[in-house]
Amino acid sequence: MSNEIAPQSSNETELTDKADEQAAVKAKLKAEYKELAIQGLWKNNPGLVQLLGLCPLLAVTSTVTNALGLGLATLLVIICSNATVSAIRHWVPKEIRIPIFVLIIAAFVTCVQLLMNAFTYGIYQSLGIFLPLIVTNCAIIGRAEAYASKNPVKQSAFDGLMMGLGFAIILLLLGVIREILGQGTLFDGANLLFGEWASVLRIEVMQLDSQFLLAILPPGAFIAMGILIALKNAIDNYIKNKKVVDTEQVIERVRVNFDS
Amino acid sequence: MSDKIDTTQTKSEHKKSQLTMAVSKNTKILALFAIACTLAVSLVSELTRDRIKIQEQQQLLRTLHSIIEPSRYDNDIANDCIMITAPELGSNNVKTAYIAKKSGQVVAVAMTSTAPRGYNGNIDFIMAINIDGTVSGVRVLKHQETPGLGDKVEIRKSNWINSFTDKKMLSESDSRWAVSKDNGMFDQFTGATITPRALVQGVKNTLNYFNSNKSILLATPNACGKAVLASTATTKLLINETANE
Repeated sequence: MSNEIAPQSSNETELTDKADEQAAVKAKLKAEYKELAIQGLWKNNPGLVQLLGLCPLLAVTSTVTNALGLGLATLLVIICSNATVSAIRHWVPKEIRIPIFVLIIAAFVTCVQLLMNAFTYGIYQSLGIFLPLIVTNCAIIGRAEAYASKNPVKQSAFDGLMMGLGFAIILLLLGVIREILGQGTLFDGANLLFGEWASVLRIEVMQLDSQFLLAILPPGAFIAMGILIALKNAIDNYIKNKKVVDTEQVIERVRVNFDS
Repeated sequence: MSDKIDTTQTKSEHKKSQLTMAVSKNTKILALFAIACTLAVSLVSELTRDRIKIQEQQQLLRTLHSIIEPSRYDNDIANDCIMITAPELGSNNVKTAYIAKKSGQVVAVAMTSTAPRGYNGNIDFIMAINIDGTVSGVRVLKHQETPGLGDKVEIRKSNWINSFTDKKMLSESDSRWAVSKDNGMFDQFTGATITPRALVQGVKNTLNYFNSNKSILLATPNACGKAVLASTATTKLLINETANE
């Protein structure tokens, strides 16, 4: 009898151990996903911090529709390329990894380009050369090399999603700023991207007698980008200062306690 | 001594073979990936080809309809065309002219052409000319003019381009065919004279070319019907299907 009981109890402890381990792994994974999200969307944003892929970022953001089109295309490419690079990471020798990454990214970009040509012809035409130029967007090969080639598929795809979202958000912000300042509208030409129903999305924010040229031309993009980066840095500084103040306060309290 | 030399030789040979093995292995892997990527791309290309063709055709028809009233012709205009190469049309590229016919009679011709002296290079446009020599309509197809200034030649930005409609050449050197700054009948834009000047000149040249070569152009046999015939049958089916959906 006793013989039977003993292994049972040890089994139970094993089980609880396993459950604990699983919980720990899960918590670790959760923390990792959270960290990936923070890195992609804020701390290491490809547009604002890494300043990668500036060429399309500055060139196509003259309207929200164009920005959204390119943002979605880049997002799709970076998720697919990250997942694929991660899936094949054990079979790719170190020496030839870069050409293989470039091959994969180029293949995905070409596929996205063909699909956009087939289904969203108008936006394909207005994005022009910047769609195939996604291949040279360093943010994508950067993520493939820095993250996806060393991590499992799920995390890599998530990393791609967050980096792509971070990039798309910056594209959108620039698009909103430049379209409002330049033309006084929002979502002008959205029907090119989503089909005819989307023409109702067009908003006339303010009536401009003539277009504000600076905002539409590339210098306007540079200025708006600079302001966005400054804003991000200001927010970071504000948070940092606040943290410092908090810790100082804690120290003061300790002193008061000590004195009394 | 000889033994030693032998061993070093074999060692170096061994190293070499290792290196060549690694190189050949890497080459094979790289080739495999290249083949896989090519296969994937060609698959997607194959799947989207018909759809892209339809989109292009629809775009073409939309443009043609905007410069020639659809009720004025009854032939399949997108597949009734001739190819022209003439330096008078602004560049040495092959230009396409679509022929609009009503019950067999030519009503108008829509020609692609180029205005070479834009502010930022060539301006490609398509213009429809009625058989009596009046302009039915002009649309700019491609340009790199300054946004906000020169891009008013696009119909999306301004309807200036419609000022060509119903205009006619009185003689081969009609002085009215210029911007108003050069005492012509077409307005220029504030801050951009070069773009409208180039376009007016381009339209004028194309019109002159059409007037002096009309009989030759209209006698040229259809150039785009045969090659596209097979594919248009399927695309038309698809157009109808999508319309039904």
